[in-house]
Amino acid sequence: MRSATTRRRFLVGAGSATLALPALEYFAPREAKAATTGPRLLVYYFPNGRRPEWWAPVATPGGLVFPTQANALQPFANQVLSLVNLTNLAALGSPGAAHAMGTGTIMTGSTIPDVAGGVLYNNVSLDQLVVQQTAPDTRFSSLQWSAGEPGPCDVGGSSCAYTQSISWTGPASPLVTTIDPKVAFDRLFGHGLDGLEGPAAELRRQSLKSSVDFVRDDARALQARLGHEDSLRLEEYFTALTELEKTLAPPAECAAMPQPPIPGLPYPERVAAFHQLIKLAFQCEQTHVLSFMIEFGLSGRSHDFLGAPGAHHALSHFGDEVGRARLELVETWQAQQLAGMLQLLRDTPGTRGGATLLDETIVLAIASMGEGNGHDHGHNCPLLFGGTGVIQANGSQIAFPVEAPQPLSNLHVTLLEAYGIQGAFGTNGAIFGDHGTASIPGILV
Amino acid sequence: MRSFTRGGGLLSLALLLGCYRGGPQLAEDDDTGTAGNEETSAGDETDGEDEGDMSPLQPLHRLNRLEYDNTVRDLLGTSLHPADAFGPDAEANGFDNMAEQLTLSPVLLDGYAKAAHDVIADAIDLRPVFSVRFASEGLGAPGGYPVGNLWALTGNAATVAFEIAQDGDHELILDAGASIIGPAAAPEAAFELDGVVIAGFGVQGSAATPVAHIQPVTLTAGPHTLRVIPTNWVNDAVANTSNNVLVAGLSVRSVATTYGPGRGLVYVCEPAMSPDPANCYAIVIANFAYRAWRRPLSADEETSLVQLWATLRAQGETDDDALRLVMRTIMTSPKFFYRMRTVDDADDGEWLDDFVLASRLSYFLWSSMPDDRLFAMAEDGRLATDEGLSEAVAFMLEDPKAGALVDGFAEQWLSTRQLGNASPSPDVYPGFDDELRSAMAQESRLLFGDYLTSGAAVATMVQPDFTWRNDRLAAHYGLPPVGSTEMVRLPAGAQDRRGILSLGAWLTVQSDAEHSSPIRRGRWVSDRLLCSPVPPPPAGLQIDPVELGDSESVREALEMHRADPQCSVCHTLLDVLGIGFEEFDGVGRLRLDAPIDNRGALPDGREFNGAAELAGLYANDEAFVDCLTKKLFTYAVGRAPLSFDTPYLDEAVARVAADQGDLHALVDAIVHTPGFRSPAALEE
Repeated sequence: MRSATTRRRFLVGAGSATLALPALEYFAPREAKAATTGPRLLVYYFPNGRRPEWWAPVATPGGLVFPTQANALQPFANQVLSLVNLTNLAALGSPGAAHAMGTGTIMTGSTIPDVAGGVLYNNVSLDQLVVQQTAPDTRFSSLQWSAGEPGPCDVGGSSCAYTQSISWTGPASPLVTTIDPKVAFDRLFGHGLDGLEGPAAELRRQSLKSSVDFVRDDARALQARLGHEDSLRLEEYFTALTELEKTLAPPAECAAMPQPPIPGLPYPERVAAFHQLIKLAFQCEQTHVLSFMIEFGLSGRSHDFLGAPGAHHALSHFGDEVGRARLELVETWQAQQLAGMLQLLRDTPGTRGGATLLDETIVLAIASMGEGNGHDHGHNCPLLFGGTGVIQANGSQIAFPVEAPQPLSNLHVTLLEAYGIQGAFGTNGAIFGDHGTASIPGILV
Repeated sequence: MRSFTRGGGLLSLALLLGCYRGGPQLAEDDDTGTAGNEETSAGDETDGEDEGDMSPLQPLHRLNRLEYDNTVRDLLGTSLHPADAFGPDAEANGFDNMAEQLTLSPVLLDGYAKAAHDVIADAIDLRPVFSVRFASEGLGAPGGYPVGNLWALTGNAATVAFEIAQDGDHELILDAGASIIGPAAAPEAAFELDGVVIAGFGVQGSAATPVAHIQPVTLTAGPHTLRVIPTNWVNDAVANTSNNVLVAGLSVRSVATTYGPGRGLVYVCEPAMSPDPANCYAIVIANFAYRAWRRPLSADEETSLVQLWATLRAQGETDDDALRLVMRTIMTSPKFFYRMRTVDDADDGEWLDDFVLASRLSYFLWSSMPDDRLFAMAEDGRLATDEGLSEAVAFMLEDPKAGALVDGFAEQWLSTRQLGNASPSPDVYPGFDDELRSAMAQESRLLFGDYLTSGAAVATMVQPDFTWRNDRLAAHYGLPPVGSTEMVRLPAGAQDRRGILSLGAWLTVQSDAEHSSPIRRGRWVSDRLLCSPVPPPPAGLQIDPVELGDSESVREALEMHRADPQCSVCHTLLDVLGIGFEEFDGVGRLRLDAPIDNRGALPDGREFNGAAELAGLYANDEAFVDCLTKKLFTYAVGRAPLSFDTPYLDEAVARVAADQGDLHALVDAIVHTPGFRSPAALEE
């Protein structure tokens, strides 16, 4: 974490300190809780905003009704908690580069002071804070996937890191997503032992462990000989090495026989392949925390397969009826994708006491902003699904008035509470991010 | 106090109008006179790095993807590109080799571990003497269709031709999976070699897991034709019954094997022919670690690496497997994929340690590791001197590896890399195909590459006396054909389309899908050519959708920007710059219809009609050389220029501009600046 108002004093005092370094002393987990049977967390991200009138359900006497463009989600109307009009104050208060700001802060809630300054400066994201505080003992502490293809990044020379990652382990540490389902599959069910089997594989496992131990010791010796800031920076290597070592462990026995995805799939099939992998990752206990970006922030993808050609970002700023109609097709299709993911989770029996995977998982479906045309950070309408017994995703809606939206970071605070995480992790004493100070009533059971 | 005369006063006006990163208040505060470029103003504002005397930090600098691929090519002789599987590198300042942005995530380290395994195997393992592989359209089965990376034959035969150099035993290998829908029979296929069916077989495996179907044959030297014929294809849509052969690849390879291309690089002695094999392995390991870590090893490092090999052997690995594991270990160490400085470096006053400098040079000019010549100069202590630097620059730019300046620097500076992602509307621009895309990419690369070899003054890049074009590009530009499908170099004069500003690649990239974009083009020119990037729109801006009616000209539509003072601050600069390029449509073609409103203006008031006139304003102008220098410096040191660098860069620019300096002279000047070759303080 870092403290926004004392930043300038800190920097001047430290001479040529760069902002890019994680201040490690702030990361000591406070009152860390042992891994409990808490729910999984799946963050499902959409770029370029989502128009509330095509996305947020309407409360009727018979229950929540999704608009036509999102009626693929209607089968989940009784397992949703709809939030209307949450404001991403971190993005509102920041200078320009709306997509870098929106995407970069959507899970961190901390204003990025200078998106184009050449130095990364964000904060820990909610999902990574959950990882750090609950220390899950799954094979992968978390996974970050995207079906997107990296493209041009936001205006003014802002760093692509802000549009291509929503999970951050620290101010300068974005987690890079895996964009190839085959690579994601291999990492889960993999190839780690050089294609060997039996005793040869066991020998190789031992050898690779020796190799990891060697580089760890060697890198520690190196760390002592680096300058102060570099030695701090090298910590990300040790974190990565620990994760690498975990992949040497034999993969967990999994009842489902996983089929690898075909390499080289086009975009819509890639999205579907990742959905299958998300289900498998949960079902086979490979991780409990996963974030998925259906495309990167500021996505310029042309959804030709939908009959909606044109860069998605350009469509979100449609200037005419043709553009608007195409945007509608894209946002409709994306809602259908989310529904497909939810269906997979609901169709799979639970592995940790819940009836289905969906019951055991909190799914947070959130876009980089509200309506994309005006870069409306002030009216985001995320949806929560699942999490039975932990959150009230039971067909309810918490709507704030347009003129008095609730800080988005209070949603993050609420989710921290859902995981039993206590403490102040934000700036200037906030619980989360710059503005998350209280949980939103009505979300938690 | 710096003069503002450079750039025709563009920046001074920008400051007065408050159009730069940081907002209007900086105009009142900023009297330090260091506002010669945007980056330094931002530096004043946001961090303490430009504290005058202190040399800016040279932090740990991870290899990016281009650098990784080139490094394994030079380290191991492999032609694999493992970095294609790595996640995207974060960019800043327009380049993807900025030290602060290149972080390491667990996914990437996984990628490094796998890459090390793959490239080492490719480099030193045994491989067939002859090997050829056909896939996708190369299978010659045009009636089929792609399924991911596989090719579904759909009853069509795959037909390929190849030539064998030497008689011998070979293997025909069909990597394929079976697709079965409904009660169809499992697919079967036959190999037909030179017109004779030699084997029939059932196709095993699946789309996700293809299987290698191997047929041994003896082949004579000379040409051969191979066909794979599905023999029981079924496709009954009504009954929903079908089978198919999904081909991942069709290969022919010799049984005779030879070592991979890196064998000689790695095995500096042959254990089998050595009186003391263990000692030979120790020498091989030490040599590999020196080259992979790009500096001599300490005694401890050497001992522990050899000890690791002995331990692995003791645990049961063979000599050669243990060697490969040690090599993989070396490549999974941060000493391989980070460039770094340690307290043990032999810095000498104003000069970095020779080996650190060697890496800085090689990654700047070659995007790769140092070669034997650079290592030798470093060992002799000759590199970290004025003469040594110039000697190195001279032979490095002569080396073909200097093409990396095109791959790394030019492709990003000129936006050619983004051309791959550009998607002009097929309705509006039906002629924009991959052949055109490729021609445009080559046009940009060849223009810049020309300056690597021709010795022309860099100041002529906006108005060179040559151009590169092929028939496809000429047709697209509405110019007479050049008589070649390959790019050819043509002389160009005042009436011809030439220079950076008329390149099709950036004009296309900086357009919207269905029309040109003066705003994006104005932004590109102001950033890439004038080094005065315009900041993003201010916070909380309500942007109403613009109804672009047919009757309004683009100029009038953009007038709305300038009606609102919040917008006009920056759009006064952007729009009129970009409007000057309206002669080019969304795919860089000259518009030949109704008179184009092409009147652009610089903020200092100078007007121009079209790209050629703008080029005239900047041809041989120090302002252009200044910006190019700053961009190249940014790329060279992995950070934006700071006020510390300004006097040295100004001097370099003045010298290059005055001497009509070429790219060699510019590179030489940059590597001599303290920002490149002097050590920064290593904070303990």
